[in-house]
Amino acid sequence: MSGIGRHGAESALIGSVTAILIALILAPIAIVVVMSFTAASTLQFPPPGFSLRWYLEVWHMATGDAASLTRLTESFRVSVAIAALTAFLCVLASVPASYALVRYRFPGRSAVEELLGLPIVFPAVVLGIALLILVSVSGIEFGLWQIVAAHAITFLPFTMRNCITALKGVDPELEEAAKTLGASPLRTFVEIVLPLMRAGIAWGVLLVFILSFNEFTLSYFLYTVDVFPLSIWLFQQSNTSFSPAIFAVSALTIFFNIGIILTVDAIVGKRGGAHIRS
Amino acid sequence: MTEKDNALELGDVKCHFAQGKVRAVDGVSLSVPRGEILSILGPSGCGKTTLMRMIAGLETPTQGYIRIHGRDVAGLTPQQRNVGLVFQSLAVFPHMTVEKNVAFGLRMRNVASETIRAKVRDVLELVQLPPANFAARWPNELSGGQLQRVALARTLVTQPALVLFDEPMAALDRRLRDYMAVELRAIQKKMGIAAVYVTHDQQTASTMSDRIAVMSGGKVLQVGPPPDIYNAPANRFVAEFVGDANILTVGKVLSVDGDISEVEVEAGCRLRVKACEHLTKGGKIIFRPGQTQVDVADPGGGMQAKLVSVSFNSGFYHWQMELPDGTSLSAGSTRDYLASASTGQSVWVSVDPEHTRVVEA
Ligand SMILES: Nc1ncnc2c1ncn2[C@@H]1O[C@H](COP(=O)(O)OP(=O)(O)OP(=O)(O)O)[C@@H](O)[C@H]1O
Ligand SMILES: [Mg+2]
Repeated sequence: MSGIGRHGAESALIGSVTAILIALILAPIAIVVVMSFTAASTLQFPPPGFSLRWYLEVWHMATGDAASLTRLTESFRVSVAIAALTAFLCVLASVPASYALVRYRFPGRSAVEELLGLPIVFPAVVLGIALLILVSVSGIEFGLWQIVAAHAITFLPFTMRNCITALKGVDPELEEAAKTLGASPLRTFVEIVLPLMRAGIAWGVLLVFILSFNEFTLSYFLYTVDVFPLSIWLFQQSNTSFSPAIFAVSALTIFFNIGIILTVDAIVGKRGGAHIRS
Repeated sequence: MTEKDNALELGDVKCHFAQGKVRAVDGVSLSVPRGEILSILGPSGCGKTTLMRMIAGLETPTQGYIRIHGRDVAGLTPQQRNVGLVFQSLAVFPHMTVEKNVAFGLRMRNVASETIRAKVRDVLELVQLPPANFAARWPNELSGGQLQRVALARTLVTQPALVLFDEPMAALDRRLRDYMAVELRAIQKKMGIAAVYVTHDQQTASTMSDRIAVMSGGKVLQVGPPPDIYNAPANRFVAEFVGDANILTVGKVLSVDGDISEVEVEAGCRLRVKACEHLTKGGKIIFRPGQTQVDVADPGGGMQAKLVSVSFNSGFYHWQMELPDGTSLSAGSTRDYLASASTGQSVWVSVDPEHTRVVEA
C-alpha cells in the first residue's frame, strides 16, 4: 500500500486533532464574545438569554457623564497612540536598517541578523523590570514614551523581518536600471524600492500595531496614572468589578483588531499582489 | 579619425572578482565610432555582462580606461554617464504602467510633463506599441516581445550618448528575435545613437551590427565586419563560434606555388590551400561547409571520404562525411549533388584553395 496518500484512520486522526486544536484556540475567544451578549448581569455560562445591554453599558461608560471617571475612552486613546507610535518608530528604523542588511556586505552583518531574533527569546518581565529601574533611577517622567520605547525594542524584529523579506523580493537590477536612467540613489530608493516594499512594510506596521495595542506585561511595569493603556484598564476592571461589560469591551477589542487587519488587507493585499507576474 | 569621433573607447579594461581569482574581463580594448552598432559575441560566462556594467558605471574596472565621446568616465556614477543599458533581464519596473516606465528617465531629468507625454507617445509608436493600446498596461499584461520593446523605449527616449543592449532578446523565439534585430537596427540608425549589442547568437550579431567583436574568456579575439569574421576568422575558436567549420590539421607542407601550397593533412589526405604565415606543421586549415564541394567521382585533387549522413533543412542539403582516420567534414548546398549516392559509400570532398584559411593552432 502506498505511503503517500493519507487514508482511513490516519486522515480521520489528523482531521480530529486539527479540529481539537482549532477549538482550543478559538474557545476562549468565542466564550468572551458569547458572554458579551448575555442578558444576565452575572457571569453565568451559557447565558440565560441574549441582549445588547452590555454594549449599551460600554457606550455609556465611554460617552456618559462618568466617562472621565471610568477612563475607558482615555485608555483606548492611549493604547492607540502607543501602538501607532511604536509601529511608526519600528518602520522608521527597519526600512533603512533592512536595506543596509540586505544590500551591503559589512563585518558583523550576520551577527546583526542573528541578534534580530534575540528580543523574542528575551522575557518581557525581565525587560520590564530593567526599564522600570532605568526610568526610576533617571527620575525623569517619560510619559507614554517609556511604554513606546519598550514596545519598539521588543517588536522591532517583526518589522525588520517583514522588511528584509520584502527587500529580498526586490530585484537589485531594477535599482540599477533606475540609476542608468538618471535616478539618484535617493530617488531610486523612493521611486523603486519603497513602492515595491510597500506590502511588506504595511504588514509589518499592522503586526506591530496589534502586538503593541494588546501588549500587557511591559505596559504593566511601565504604566503611570496618566498613561493607562487599555490592556491595563481591562486587567484592573476584571480585578475590581466583574461585570459582563468587560466582556463587551474585550469583544470590541477583538473586533477592532480584526477590522484593522481587514482594512490593511483591502488596501495593500490586492493592489500589492497585482503586479507580481504569475 | 580623431578620438572625438568615437562614441566609446575602451583601453585595456579589466575586471577581476574574488581577489583576482575570477578574471571576468581581462584586458579589452575596443572603440565604437559615432552612429555605429557593434556586437559583442561570445559564449556564456565570457564577461559580456560585466563589460556592459563597467561601461554603464555599475561595476568598477580593476584597470584600464573607458571614454564616452572622448570623456574619461572613471569616477562618474551611472546617473552622470548618460549611458542607456537594456538589461539581460529587461528590468521593467513592475509597479509602473508602460507609460510610467517609459517616462521614468525623462522624469528623472526634470523634463516638463507635457514634453514627457509627447516624447513617450512618439517612442512608443517607434517601437510599435501603439500608445492607445499599451500606455496604460501593466508589465504583467505584456508578452515577452512587448516587454522587451518597453525596456527599449524606456532607454531610447532619454536619447543617451550610447546605448548598451545586454542580450535583451535571449528569451524570445528565433523568429521574433530576427524580426526584432532588424527592427532594432532600423531604430538605432534612425536615431543615430551608437550602440553595443551583446549576444551569444552569431546570426543576431550578423543581422544587427556594423562590426562584431568576438569575446572569449574575458578577452576580445577578433573585431571586424560580419563577413570578415565569417570568412577570415583569426583562429579556430572564432571560426567555430561564428558558424560551422571544417577543420583539418597541417601535417606537412609539400610544395609552394605562389599563393597556393599543397599540404598533407594529419588525417592523411592532400589538399591545396592558400598560403599564409601560419602554414606550418600543426596549423589549422579552416573552410566553410557552404564552400565545400562533394562529388561521387574524383574531380581531381579531392579527398576520399565516407558519406555518413544526408539531411535537408530550410532549402539546404547537408552532407556529413568522415575521412579514413575518423575526422568529420561537412558540406552543404541548395543543389543535391549526391542524389544518386547512399550513406556508407565513398565520395570526394574538395575545396577551392581561395576559400581555405590557415590559422595558428
Ligand atoms: N559579482 C561577481 N563576483 C564574482 N564573479 C562574477 C561576478 N559577476 C560575474 N562573475 C563571473 O564573471 C564571469 C563573467 O560573467 P558575465 O556575467 O560577464 O558573463 P556573460 O558573458 O554575460 O555570460 P552570459 O552570456 O551567460 O550572460 C563569470 O564567470 C561569472 O561567474
Ligand atoms: Mg550576461
